[in-house]
Amino acid sequence: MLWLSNVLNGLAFGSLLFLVASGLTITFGLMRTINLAHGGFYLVGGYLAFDLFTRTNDYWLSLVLAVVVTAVLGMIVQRFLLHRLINQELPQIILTVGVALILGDLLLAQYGGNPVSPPAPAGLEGSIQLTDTLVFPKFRLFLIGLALALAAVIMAFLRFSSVGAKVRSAVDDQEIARTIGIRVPLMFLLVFGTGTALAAFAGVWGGAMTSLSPDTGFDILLLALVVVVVGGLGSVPGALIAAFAVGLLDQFGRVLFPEWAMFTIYAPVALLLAFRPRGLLGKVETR
Amino acid sequence: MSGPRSALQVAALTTFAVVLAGCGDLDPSAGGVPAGSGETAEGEKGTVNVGLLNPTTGPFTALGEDVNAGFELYLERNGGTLGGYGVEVVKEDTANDPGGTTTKARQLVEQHESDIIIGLVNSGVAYAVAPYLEEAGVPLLITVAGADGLTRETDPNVFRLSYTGSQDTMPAGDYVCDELGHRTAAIVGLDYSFGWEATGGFARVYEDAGCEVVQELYAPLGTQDWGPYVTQIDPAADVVFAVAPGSDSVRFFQAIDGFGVTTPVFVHGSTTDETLLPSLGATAEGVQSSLHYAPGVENDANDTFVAAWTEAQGRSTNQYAEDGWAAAQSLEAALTEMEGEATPEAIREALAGVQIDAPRGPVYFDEYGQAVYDVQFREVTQQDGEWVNEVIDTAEDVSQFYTYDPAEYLEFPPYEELKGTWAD
Repeated sequence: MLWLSNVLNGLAFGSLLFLVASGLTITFGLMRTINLAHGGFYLVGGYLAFDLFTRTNDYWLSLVLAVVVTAVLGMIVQRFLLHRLINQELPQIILTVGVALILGDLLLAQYGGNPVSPPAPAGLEGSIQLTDTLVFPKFRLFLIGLALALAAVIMAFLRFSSVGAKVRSAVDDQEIARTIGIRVPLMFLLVFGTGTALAAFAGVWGGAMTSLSPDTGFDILLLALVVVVVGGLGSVPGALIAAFAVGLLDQFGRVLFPEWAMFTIYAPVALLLAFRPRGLLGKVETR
Repeated sequence: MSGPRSALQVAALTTFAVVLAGCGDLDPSAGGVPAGSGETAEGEKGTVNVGLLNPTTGPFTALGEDVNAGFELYLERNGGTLGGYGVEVVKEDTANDPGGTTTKARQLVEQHESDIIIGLVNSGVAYAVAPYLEEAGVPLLITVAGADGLTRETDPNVFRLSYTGSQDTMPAGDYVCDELGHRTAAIVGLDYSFGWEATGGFARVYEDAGCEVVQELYAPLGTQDWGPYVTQIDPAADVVFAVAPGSDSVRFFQAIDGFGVTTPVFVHGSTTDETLLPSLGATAEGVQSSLHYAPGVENDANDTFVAAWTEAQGRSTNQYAEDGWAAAQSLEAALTEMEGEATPEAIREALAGVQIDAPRGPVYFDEYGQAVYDVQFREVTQQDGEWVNEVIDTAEDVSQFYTYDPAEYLEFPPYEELKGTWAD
């Protein structure tokens, strides 16, 4: 039954990666804005929720507040810093790395360098006996369902709302978009806010799964970037497939070839990108 | 085919990689402002300049700050003088960067005329700084950095109060095999030099005691998900011996707990550090460990230390705070023996002969500059709502070579070559 445990755990870790990557996919794919501060917002969300939880003892209220506050923080960064850099990739990268470093340092000053371990919500602590020999943490099982649900919600939103189309038109040609009545700055603000809200949301769940310390932001961001790029920029189903693939690769790599733990993720990724640079479900660019 | 978007991806990943590599340690701010203590107390024999060189930014901030706080607390309680000398402290930040720290060490020696440098957490940083200080003739007293190889030369310029990678786990080999009666062990360690040395020290003594290592698992530093490792642990093993300090410890015990591993766990003490216990909570209940310090050690020096630290910090003492405190104590003992100007050479000579009663117990330096001390066996229990490491037994007078002959021990292949061979 060990294989089943490995498969489930690979999917669970993949689910966490999808939660983190979903926000990146949205800002990356819709706005073509590269947000390397995503890991920073992930940490802010996780730490805030944990802090609020220790004060209020209300898990879900803390989660909502942390997500909202982080989204507002993200919108402030977008409005005052990033909005000047629409379609300028390199300045965006430099700026958001700077924001990530500032956020990391602020968290270090506020919460110290020791890792904190936020709890799982009530009802998801402990483990469940799946078979005679297979014990699996409830929280991780739940995470798989959460990732699938989140993917469905985001895909439905992009498909059935006009926001996606408006944002894409704003990216392609700001002036034309404005002339037909699209409030371009507001669109960008909302999309970026959603991206950081998703980062904070992931931070709350990721914190409970892997703990938080001021330096985990970059560890998580690296894997999330891999997921986004492998899935294809802006493709939510692509990101979901890629996240599960990376989670399973990681899991089985560590079990079967522990000496090559890092290699088993990055070698297949490099190979895939060599033959399919646009990723699994990325669209061919015709700009 | 590959349009601007691919270029974008490459640019993003490349920049990210460069940022990672540039920081090395993901350090948010590599700067560091010299922070002098302000005024220096008058000593009847003169003054001594101490350079405290610890990380106050970056991943090891918490450790570095506790060492600094322990040192300064001891100094403050002695009115700013040690052994008749007024002590002027200049603090610099290593920022966990070997190159930058060498520059900081140079500043401390050349501009502030430090007579001794105390600190260092990262062994890589220590390896970078030690040769410069040797050349400059300024002694180095290490308070955390643990690489075995730092204290392997006789007539040393480098002294170390904290453990070598294998020093605190070697007694555990005998203890787990003979006292606890666990005859087979699965080893789980972090895949870098400290992980190999700490697990290797345990494995060597454990197997020499007649017990058997049946499995070895090594995980990269900063492993986000320990699930794949703990599910592989051989259920037939009597005990899991683990070395996973820092945030890996939290994730390791979460996985042990979540995947229902019921095998007893014994760890290197830094894996169930007092700084980690609040985060570990019930996931580490009953876990036993070996380390050169535990807040529950019973002696007068520890009573004084615990009372002073708890009053100043409002939290439990830990090995890093004790390392800093004991460093001040060692310096005091060295200075007490001295007369006249406190030169680096005089301090080095005096330090070699120092014997102190530190909070951890009696401490002296061997001929290689490494501290010889008691190792405590501890168990995580809950007392008055707080998680603590309760002392359950003690191995006295443990040197970096444990019971082995130093000459023979130094002939052994390094632990990095032995990694992976213990279970064969």
